[in-house]
Amino acid sequence: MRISFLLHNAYGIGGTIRTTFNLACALAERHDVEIVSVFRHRDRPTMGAPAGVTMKHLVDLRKKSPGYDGDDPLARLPAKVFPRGDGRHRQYSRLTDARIAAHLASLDADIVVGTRPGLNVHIARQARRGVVRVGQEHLTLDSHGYRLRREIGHRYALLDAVTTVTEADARAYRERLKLPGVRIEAVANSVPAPGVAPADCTAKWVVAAGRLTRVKRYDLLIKAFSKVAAARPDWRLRIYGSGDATGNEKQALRDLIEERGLHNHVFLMGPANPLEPEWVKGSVAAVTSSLESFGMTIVEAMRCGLPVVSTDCPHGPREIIDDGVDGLLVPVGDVDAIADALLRLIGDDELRRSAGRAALVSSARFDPAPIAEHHEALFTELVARGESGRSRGALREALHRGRSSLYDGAYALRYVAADLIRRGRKSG
Amino acid sequence: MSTPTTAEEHPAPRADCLAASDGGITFDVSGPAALGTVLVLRRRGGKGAADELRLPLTPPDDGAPARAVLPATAELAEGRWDAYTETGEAVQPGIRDLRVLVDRAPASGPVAVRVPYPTADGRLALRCWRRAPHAEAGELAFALERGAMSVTGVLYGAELGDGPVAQARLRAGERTHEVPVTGEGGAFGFTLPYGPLAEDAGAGKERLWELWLRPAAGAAPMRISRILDDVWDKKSIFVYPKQRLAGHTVAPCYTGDNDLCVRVTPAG
Repeated sequence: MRISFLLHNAYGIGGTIRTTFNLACALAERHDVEIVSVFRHRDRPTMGAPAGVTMKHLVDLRKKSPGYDGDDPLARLPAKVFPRGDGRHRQYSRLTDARIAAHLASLDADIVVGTRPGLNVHIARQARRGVVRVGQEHLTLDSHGYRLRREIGHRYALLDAVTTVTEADARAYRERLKLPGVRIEAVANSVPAPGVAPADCTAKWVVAAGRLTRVKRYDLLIKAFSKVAAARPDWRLRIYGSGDATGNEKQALRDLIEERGLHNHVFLMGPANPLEPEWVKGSVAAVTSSLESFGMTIVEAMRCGLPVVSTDCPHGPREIIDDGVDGLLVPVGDVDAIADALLRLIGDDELRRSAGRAALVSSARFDPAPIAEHHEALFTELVARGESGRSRGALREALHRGRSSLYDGAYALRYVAADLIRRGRKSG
Repeated sequence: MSTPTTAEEHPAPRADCLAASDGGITFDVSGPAALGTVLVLRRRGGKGAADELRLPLTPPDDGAPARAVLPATAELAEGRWDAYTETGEAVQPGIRDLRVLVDRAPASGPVAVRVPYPTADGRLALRCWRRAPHAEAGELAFALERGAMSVTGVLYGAELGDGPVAQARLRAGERTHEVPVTGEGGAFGFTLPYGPLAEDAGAGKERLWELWLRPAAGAAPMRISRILDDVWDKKSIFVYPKQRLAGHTVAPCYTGDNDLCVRVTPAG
């Protein structure tokens, strides 16, 4: 198969980029794979170019590059095709509308795979006839605002398939959006085997890692560790990570550590890349989030041989952890339950070691090879179905496009109205 | 419309580092085809013969990467050692497996610490300490209502004798405060009142008091540091409660060299 991925920016750092690289790399062993990055701001991908994969870009943001596109007047006009409800809308423009449209109209591929809602909408509207269209959802339906949910509920009808990273999210797509004929399937994210030997679970450290943002609820973890340190002062906690564009809790967490007198027990380590050598310095991993679209850090810690104590938050943790076997699930927001679960693993060397070994074994199912096989089987089936399904598809598509133009008109009118209202408010 | 990426450029040499419990470090180097026959470690700012170490590089074999080993017995002066290939190209840090460095408690002899770390501009360097004797700081406790901090730690290569004291020395060296030290065997502990450190501190100037330990009357004092783990720069990670005292903020801190200090800042 010729497989073409469409990615927001293959040259940055992030979970979607890493997952797409892992998948593309694994598929490239048997297929022609390209990654098309809408933006390019660096010469080389920060996360390392995936072996055997062709890299392309559509809009060049390297100021020193002869192909620099930043001065194009179209780049200053807001995007019309890329949906406003997608959080990245401000980075898109009339220029990306045109470049992505031209790319999708001339695709030399059997299947095109979008990696965020805005790009999935582009693919639904603009991919040339005859190419199988897949939209990947790396977040969750719940995490999208009303505006985006409404738009994808309409546009995704022209995709051949939508993949989510959890069964729970796949159910949400099936039950809450009306997408007849669109295959909706959960395929987990992949995590490669770490480049270090697994932890032996003897070090007296608990490790957590993630962005220092509100949703990760490290405040709960620190409060829980107050109880842990009182019972087991020989154990300590390291939290890796830094804030991001959505927030930085570092000072608040620092204040909490001071307030609880935990300066000898809890350490904010700052960012670390790669994380594997940091996980194996610990014997228990902790995740106290109120929301995990998938739960990448849980799988990463398990692949390093650590049992994970995680909140049973939507959506990922309970699909990854076998409670009581390779980790422990605790209710969301419950400080005592987090502390008790940590103390249970800390206090029982044999349980901790056996759960660590079980984590190592069970997390192998997230290796890029089986995950890529799952995607590959789905892609193969969709491409095979493509030939016979196409004629029906053409009729469905024509009807849908008719309705879409009405939708576009109404959509545009609504925004004109909304803009006028906003301007009115400002001037008043 | 879409532009293929230009051909892959010259890959940078990269070294995975594995720390052994005896203090040795194994470097697995990958990257360009011709890596040369040695891995060069050079002490930053050093110009003498002892400031360069050339480690033989075993050529790659059957999929195994080229390998160099820094033996535990090698004597590296305190400081930052940068890693280069034979042709002088800076080596990038790969995976640094330093798990054995966490919570280290060396048995005997001079304390030699080597922590491979990524520099701010993304190169591989080695942070080295060499101390004989050595005073390792441990937990810090605070009696905030009394305006003091307590330090506990462990001595290596020395024992407490008669009249052991901890000294707070103003960095410029013109003033010293001493408090008695207690302890048994290798363990030591002392309580340092903040009052004298904040006195006459003057307005508008920050003061940094270095902490030293003199194990016995007449013995040579040694710096109190925290170096027996994998955290090569503790300044922003080991952070302690601040206290207001006589118009000043007082708190212990670690320097970029992991030496324990007390910082006195005029409260704004």
